[in-house]
Parts: sequence; C-alpha cells; structure tokens
Amino acid sequence: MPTDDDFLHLGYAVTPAADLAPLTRLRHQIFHIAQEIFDARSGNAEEFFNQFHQHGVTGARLNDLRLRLIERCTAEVDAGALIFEAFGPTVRGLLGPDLLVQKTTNLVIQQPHDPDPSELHRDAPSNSPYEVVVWVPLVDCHATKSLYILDRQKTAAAQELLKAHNDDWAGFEAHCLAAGQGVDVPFGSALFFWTGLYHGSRVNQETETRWSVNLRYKGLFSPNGLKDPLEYFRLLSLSPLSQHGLAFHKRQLLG
Amino acid sequence: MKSFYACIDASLPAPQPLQHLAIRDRAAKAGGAITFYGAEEILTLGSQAFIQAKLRRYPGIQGVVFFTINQFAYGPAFNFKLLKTIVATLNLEAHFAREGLAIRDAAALDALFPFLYAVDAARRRDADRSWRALILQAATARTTDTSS
Ligand SMILES: [Fe+2]
Repeated sequence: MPTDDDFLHLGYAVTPAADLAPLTRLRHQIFHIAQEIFDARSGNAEEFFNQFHQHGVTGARLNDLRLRLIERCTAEVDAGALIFEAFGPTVRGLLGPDLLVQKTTNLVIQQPHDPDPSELHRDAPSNSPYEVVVWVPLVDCHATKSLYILDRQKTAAAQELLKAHNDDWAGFEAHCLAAGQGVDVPFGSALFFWTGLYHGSRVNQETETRWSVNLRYKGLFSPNGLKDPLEYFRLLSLSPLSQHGLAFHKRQLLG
Repeated sequence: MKSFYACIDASLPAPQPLQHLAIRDRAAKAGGAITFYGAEEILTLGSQAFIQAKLRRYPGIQGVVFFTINQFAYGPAFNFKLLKTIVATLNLEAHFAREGLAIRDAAALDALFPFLYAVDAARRRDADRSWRALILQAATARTTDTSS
C-alpha cells in the first residue's frame, strides 16, 4: 500500500476506506441524532453538516449541545467498530490483530470563522506512542476547514525549538503554524497519524462547517500511555492465537 | 431498587468526596443506590481482606461499587480470585465507577477476562518504565533548565 510509505516517512497518511458502506452508515447515524439535538431538519447529511453554521448555534450553547450529541452517539453509535469495518486493513496493518479501540468518540464541529479552533498539541505521551489516531471527516475537508499537522521531522525540529526556548509558547505556536501542513481529506477517507505528531486546526476561513470524528486504536499488548486502557479503551478484536493464549490463562485463574 | 456497598480506593490521592460522587453516579446508572460504605485498610490493599469480609457480612446487598477496577491490581497478581468469589459465590454484581465497567455474573467475568488479563500483564511488564516516570523526568529536567 502506498500509504504505508507515507506513514513510515511522515508519521501520517490519508487513506481511502476499503469499504465505504460503514462510513456512510456512521455519517447517517450521527446525522440522524444531530437533527434531533439541534432541532433542525435536512434531507441530506452532507448539506446539513456543511451548512450547519446557518442555524446560528454558537458559543456555550453549541458546546452544550455538542456534548449531548457525543453522549448520544457514544450510547447509540458504534463508531469504533464502523471505522474499523471501513479501514480494517489499514488498522490491522499498523497495529496487528489484537486491538483496543477508544470507548468514546470525539466529535468536533468547526464553523467558519469560529475563533477557537483546536489548540496545537500532540496526543502522546498522554496517550501511548503505540496508538494511532484516526481522524474521520464527515464532509470533504480541505485548506483551513481541515487539520494541520507537523510530520515526523518537523515535529522533531519543533521539539528542539521548544527545548531551547521552553518559556516561549507563543513563538513555538507561530513556528508550528508556519511549519504545519494542511491535509486535504475527502469524506470516504481518513487521516491516520502517529500520536507523537503536533497537530491542530486554524480558524476555518472556508464557507462550510467541518464535522469530524476522531478516535484511537491501540495494540492490546503494547505499552500504555498515561491513559489507563481499562478506562479509555475496550477490546475490539483478538487473533485466534491470542484467544488460545488468553483461554489458557483463564483456565488457570478462573477455572 | 438495588442496594450496593461502596468501596473507595484508599491508596489514591483523589479526594474521597470525589470518589463517592463517582461511585454514587455509577450505582444510580446500575439501577440502585449506596447503602454501606467502606475503604480497604492500607495493610490489606493487596489482599483486599477487608472488603472480602465485609461483603460476606452484608446479606442484604445486591452488589458492590468500587472506585476503580485497579483496586484488584495492588497485590502481586491481579485478584481474579476475589472477583470470581464476588460474582460467582456471593452472587453480587461488581461495578467500577472510573472505568464505567460492570461485571454482573460469572459469564460477564469470563467475557471480560482477556481484556483485564492482557492489560494487567502489560502494565506489570512495563511497571518500571512507565510514562508517568518519564514525564516526571522531563518535568524535572525543565525545572533544572529554568533555574540555570
Ligand atoms: Fe489530538
């Protein structure tokens, strides 16, 4: 797969879904719940998400409703399984067959000119450096409607800068915003990236609202980050061999 | 309404009122309320002898809510034996507030075993090179940098 090379050299890759149907289901399920929560109707998910800013929901109310939406989606939509169905070969290629998936799915709504885009940050070491982040847009995302990311080399250079000037966050942020690469991700694809990369989003200067979900997959046996797997993840899949090994220990410990 | 025993984690710096809040919330989500409270004695954190004795003494309860499932991981090995006793011998439900997990019977424990066992095994394997230790090192280095 060409994206394996990208992932190795850059630390990230944009990958088309091996199966689009589960992604379409995911988008439709979120669309269905969102219409109820925001009390708005539309005949078309893409139109609803892209033109969401026309409804005039902003600030604290938007955050409030977004949290309710996440709560409902966590209870009613199995995003971890749907995204795995869509991108199974990529996830297994990066992590192997013994997999954990994040329990809750983050959902981000970025309206045009919203002055509070996602802050510059990296997920590891709070998350494990053996996890992969999967960022799935529910609409086509390009330019400032999308994310920016610093590849492996740029992240390493940025870290050197921060070590040398660890009292200057503003300077560090300006450096990363200049060095960050905007990533175009159409609906039907996902951005896979290593948890150690710096990323964030700029103020959305496009005329459409971005809706995206993100979650993390982790190898069951890989080293943990600060986030306790028992709290943040659930078991998604086991290889036949691991099933034998774990059944062996279960007989020893539980009879 | 079900009646639960609450068992907070005595080893955590997390304030006890916050632990109780989380436990009460979990009990409500499991269709019940807390009727008895307790915390493991520091000397029995590993064996969990206190909670084991308490659960045998309160026949009226339907389950127990721990603050975290990690309360079963403070001994030399994960205490699967006690978990099995709780759900299979005492016929009590076990709930875990921080993780939002429920083990209601022996079948549920069987189903959760691979996840619990593998995560615990990885944690024990990596105990002396945890990220928490690495982050503390980084923070210490930064403090030294600033003062120089
Ligand atoms: Fe992130």
